[in-house]
Amino acid sequence: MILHRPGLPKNELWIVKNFRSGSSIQSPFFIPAFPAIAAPLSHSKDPLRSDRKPPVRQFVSIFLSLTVCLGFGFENSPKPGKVSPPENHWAFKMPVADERSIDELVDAKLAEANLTAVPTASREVLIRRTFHVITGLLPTPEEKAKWLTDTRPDWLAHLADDLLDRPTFGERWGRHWLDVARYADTRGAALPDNEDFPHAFTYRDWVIRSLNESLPYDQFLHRQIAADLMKLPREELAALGFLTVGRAYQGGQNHLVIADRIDVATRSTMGLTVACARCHDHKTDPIPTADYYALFGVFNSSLVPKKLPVIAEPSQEPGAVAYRAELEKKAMAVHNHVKECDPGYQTPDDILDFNLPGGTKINQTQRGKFRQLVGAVTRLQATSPFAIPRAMVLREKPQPFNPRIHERGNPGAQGEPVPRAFLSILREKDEHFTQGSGRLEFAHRLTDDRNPLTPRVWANRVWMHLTGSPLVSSPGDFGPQTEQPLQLKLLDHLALFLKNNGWSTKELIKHIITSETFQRSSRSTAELQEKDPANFYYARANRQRKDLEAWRDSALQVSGRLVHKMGGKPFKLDQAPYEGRRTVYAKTRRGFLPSIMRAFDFPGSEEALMKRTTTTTPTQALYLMNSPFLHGEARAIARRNPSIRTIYQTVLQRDPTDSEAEAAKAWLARARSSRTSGAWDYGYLQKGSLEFKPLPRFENGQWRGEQELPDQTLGWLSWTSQGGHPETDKHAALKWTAIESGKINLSGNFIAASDKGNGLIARIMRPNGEILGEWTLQPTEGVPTSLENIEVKAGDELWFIADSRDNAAFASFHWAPKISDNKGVISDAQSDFAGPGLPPLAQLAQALLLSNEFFYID
Amino acid sequence: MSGHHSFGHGGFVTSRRDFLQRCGMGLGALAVPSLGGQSISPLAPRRPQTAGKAKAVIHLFMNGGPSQVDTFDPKPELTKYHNKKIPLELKTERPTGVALGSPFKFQKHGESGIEISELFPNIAKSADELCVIRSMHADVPNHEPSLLLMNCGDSRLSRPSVGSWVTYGLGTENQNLPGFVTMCPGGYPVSRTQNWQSGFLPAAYQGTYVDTKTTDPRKLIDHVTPTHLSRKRQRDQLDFLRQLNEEHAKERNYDSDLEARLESFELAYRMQLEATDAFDVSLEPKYIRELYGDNLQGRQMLITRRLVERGVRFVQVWHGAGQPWDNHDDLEKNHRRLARECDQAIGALLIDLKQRGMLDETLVLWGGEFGRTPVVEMPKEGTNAGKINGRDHNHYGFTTWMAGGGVKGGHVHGATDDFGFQAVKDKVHVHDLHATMLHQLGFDHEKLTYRYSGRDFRLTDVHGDVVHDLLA
Repeated sequence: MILHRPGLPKNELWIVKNFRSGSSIQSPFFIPAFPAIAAPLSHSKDPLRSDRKPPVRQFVSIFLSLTVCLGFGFENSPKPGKVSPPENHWAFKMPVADERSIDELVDAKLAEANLTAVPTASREVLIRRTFHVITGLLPTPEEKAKWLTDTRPDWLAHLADDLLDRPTFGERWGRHWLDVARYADTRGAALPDNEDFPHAFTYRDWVIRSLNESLPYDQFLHRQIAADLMKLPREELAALGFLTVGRAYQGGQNHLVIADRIDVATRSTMGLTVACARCHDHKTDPIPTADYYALFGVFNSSLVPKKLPVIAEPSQEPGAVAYRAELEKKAMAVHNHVKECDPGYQTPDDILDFNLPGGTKINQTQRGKFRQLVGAVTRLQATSPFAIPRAMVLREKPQPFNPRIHERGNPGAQGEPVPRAFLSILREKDEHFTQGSGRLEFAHRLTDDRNPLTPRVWANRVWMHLTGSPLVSSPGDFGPQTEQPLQLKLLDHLALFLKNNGWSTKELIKHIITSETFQRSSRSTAELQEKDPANFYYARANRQRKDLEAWRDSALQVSGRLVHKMGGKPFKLDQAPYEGRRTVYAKTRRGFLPSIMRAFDFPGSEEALMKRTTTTTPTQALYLMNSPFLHGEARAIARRNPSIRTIYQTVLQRDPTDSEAEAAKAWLARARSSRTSGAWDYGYLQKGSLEFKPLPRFENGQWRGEQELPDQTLGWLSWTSQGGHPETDKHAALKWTAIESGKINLSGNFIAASDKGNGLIARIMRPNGEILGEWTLQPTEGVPTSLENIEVKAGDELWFIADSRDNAAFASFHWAPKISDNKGVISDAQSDFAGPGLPPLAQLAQALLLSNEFFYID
Repeated sequence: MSGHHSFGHGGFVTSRRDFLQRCGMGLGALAVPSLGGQSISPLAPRRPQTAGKAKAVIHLFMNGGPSQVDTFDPKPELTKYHNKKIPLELKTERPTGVALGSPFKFQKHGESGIEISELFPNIAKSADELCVIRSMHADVPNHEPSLLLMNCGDSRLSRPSVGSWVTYGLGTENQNLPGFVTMCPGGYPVSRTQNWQSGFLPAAYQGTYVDTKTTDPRKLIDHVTPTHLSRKRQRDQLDFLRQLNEEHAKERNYDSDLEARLESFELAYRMQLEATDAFDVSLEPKYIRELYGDNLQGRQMLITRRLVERGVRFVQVWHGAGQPWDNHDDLEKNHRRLARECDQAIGALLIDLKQRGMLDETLVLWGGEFGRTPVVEMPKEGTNAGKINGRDHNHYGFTTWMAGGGVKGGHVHGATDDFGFQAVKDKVHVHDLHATMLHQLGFDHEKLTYRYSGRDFRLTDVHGDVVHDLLA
């Protein structure tokens, strides 16, 4: 897109480009004008050496790399037809077979670079790592023990087989694919009335099932692009969600919807950014606009039908019957509304058909209500577990669309006609699609023997998910802008392995896992740190941080709350009570991710995402420290585990060291168990009584009765960080407990907040009834409640009482006392204000859940 | 809390390799000395390509589209034609009719004598700070695409917002607060979170939404307030966690990610206090609160100043949820009400920034996604209340103003035609406005790029020219 930057001579650009790609220089524009610059850098495709360059040269190199990134030149980029496409680009050549194994290929590069690989990781680490990369979960203690003592030399291959056979494999790897498929449960954009894709989950479930059932990768792609054109059982139609779960556009701009489908079908599979060519010839890749419109013809020859096909029998359970009645009621409400607006309107035979016939008289306000009512139907379909699952299919139009180029991407400016065909760089000149839209031909063309890209792109992704870094650093861009990877031979080895083993993803995974390279320790050495800090050479394993799914699922696992229910309607991730299902089943609202998803790098699903970024931010820390979800898991762990030792065993799957156990013990003794977390407690005294009664419920920063204010029995009684509200027959009471003996001073301001009512009495007293200070206030009055030199012993209580003077109307007050001694403030009711405390063992469990040990996979 | 400055760069980390491969923000940014480590912080403060005059941006978004001829672009000729057909027909969203002269009086203000309508007496007090652009234009007369164009530089596609680009380019000065805050009272504007999305930029750069209708400062940012532990107990817990993490890291050399994650808990702990503080206007002296006005707009403008003062890079303030300035009917009544709601607060913000010496380094932008027609909107079934006293959308010509951040004060740039319908002189497209804003922040808009899906993207796509006439 950043194209028109005149200034630099184009030959300079081409030098840079070619040294980056490492290929021989073929451009007709090439003039060796800057040998002085080019020469010293000619070895810099070797990342090791470029890292070791002296500062000045590194500077030049960064500058040159930037010139490419910044898109200087390209003003006169090669015109298709005039210049032969860069067949010499590595990714457009067929993979070359090499007899050597993964390890031999990696070791050869290590030897070239004179690097020493680190030793193999411990079996304990390998078990944990293998569980993580295949299932996204932790081993149970029993499983761990079993695999630790397995005496077979090829125990790891058996472990891989075991894990690949589990349904949890599909849940982990399905989510990887859903990133690529820009999956979401909603349309996104600004369509809040009708934003749900009620059947998107059928696609998600299809992905998970197909991975679990080892559907070969080529068929995996064919079905996602053309299941409707193949002879398959009806439930396979769900695969087409790949094309149809994309975002909606304002005003339903069809050409953008098609662009989205072309993008996902080419970038996700072949690593080509074809959609760039929508408006002009691709500036960097050999993809002319004609190619884009050839595919536009393919994808614009299909439509999402108004009625999606059912892919499972309706249930006869009572719930399902009730659901259908409710659905009918809501659907009829729509038709009745339209009939009110336009008496001539006829309810269609299919009551779920809400396409208004042309000429229906309905004004904008009425149309707003119409959309709302339709939205209610969709929401019911989206949320009810009894909704009949349907597939988000495409259907061929009766006549395939004959595309013309849209000049500059503008559908109003129709240019030359182009035949429907595959990308010109990968086909013979006259090879066009001949069967209908050509969608099925396109699907087969992705994986036939003439396509060097698809197996490489998938092999690269599989490698990335297993080792933590891809061989080609841009998994969605294998175009000429992307330089030849250091490990091209390894990539080709993996791509050919995939094809030669029936496109079996599971076989490929097992093949990689059983290599020495995968099994290396993640501990770096001084040598590696200096020569290859980014680990391009795989002399060690990458330490990986758990992504959102992996940490949340494993937290549920150790708390014992993980629910192994597969498939079905999505659940809300941020809604209490928090569901124990795996994160892959959480609802993804395109553009409206809940804070937990936003904080932990979950994809926004606007476009296909080829590689997640991993950020480390205080927002994540805030979530982990303060979210009720984590507290719930911590409490659950503490409930099931009575000691420091068992909590360590559960969360970190090991015993605490002696010093850890001691430190935990010392800390937890201070974090003594109390109803609230701090020195303060929030309650009331019945008038005339000296018994402190705690307020039972904490919600939205307020202690109160069981119900929303006013509670049936406790009325308006409440405390917040700022103050509270008494009742007529109950005084609001704030209790403070001394930790140490000594003399203290009390300060604070009591303010009768309202200008109505009959004021309040503030009182500071001991539980035995001794009154230390008392102040009577009229409405709006305020008074400092200061007392000095109060003697307390450890464990003594002081009560801060607000008395409504027998009339609780308008009796809210501000009061946040502070307690200090001669060294400073001991307690501050405002800043110490706290909800129900985490019991000490839950505090420990939370700390372990937050730890790097829990979050990282060695 | 001391910190207007970062605590190192440890808290925000993406892999260095990943980051370097993508970023194209130029040598200044890449020459950050702290690159020696393994990781690079996406939000650490960075130097721009050249020394920019502005360090922070405040974008006051009058969503819905305020009318230029009723605010900053007086048109006596239009008044003459009131109730008559004007000799100019331009297609907008809806059918329009005869000229609708402005019901508001204009007056010259300040030494510069800039003409401002009676709607904004308080903003007018800072007339000599304003750089009024009367020749803005956009692409289409519809809200959604125009909002996206103004906020993200593209009216259709999912692109990063201006605030995301700016925090990507400059990081932010205070690591205890978000770098890009967007405030809208009572809900979202039209197009919702797309207006502050980070698009293909890392999620660290997206706007942090704050509903300023909430008055309790502790509820403005998610999970910023611990309620399960007192601060002291939480400190104990984090001390234990630190010990655990340090022990874990000891056996794992050379991994700065571990260190960074350890540090992020400390940052979060401090943020709990600082963020609450920053949003707590009750900590301001009474005369300042009175200057801004004790109301919703006053509160959010005052929060804005407190955020910028603490080093937040980009603050966007929306007038309200939906599209409040979209007055298809009852324009006089509604514009009066809306201006009354925000005039005191915006006026106070300008004066306050100035007297604190912050205005020089803070670029303030005021405006909507487009303007309104000088002609009256005709009733159409279902589209308005059948009154003939409002104005339709107008992307052909509208007004925005900037202040501070090195723009010319007391300056009027460009002009619309005699009726205020379309920009005719020294036209400024939204892309040009973006290019100029980035220029003031020290960036060549053509060089602030990000590599994504095989291309280098920038805020202004292939468009945009810096408007040098706007610059002091």
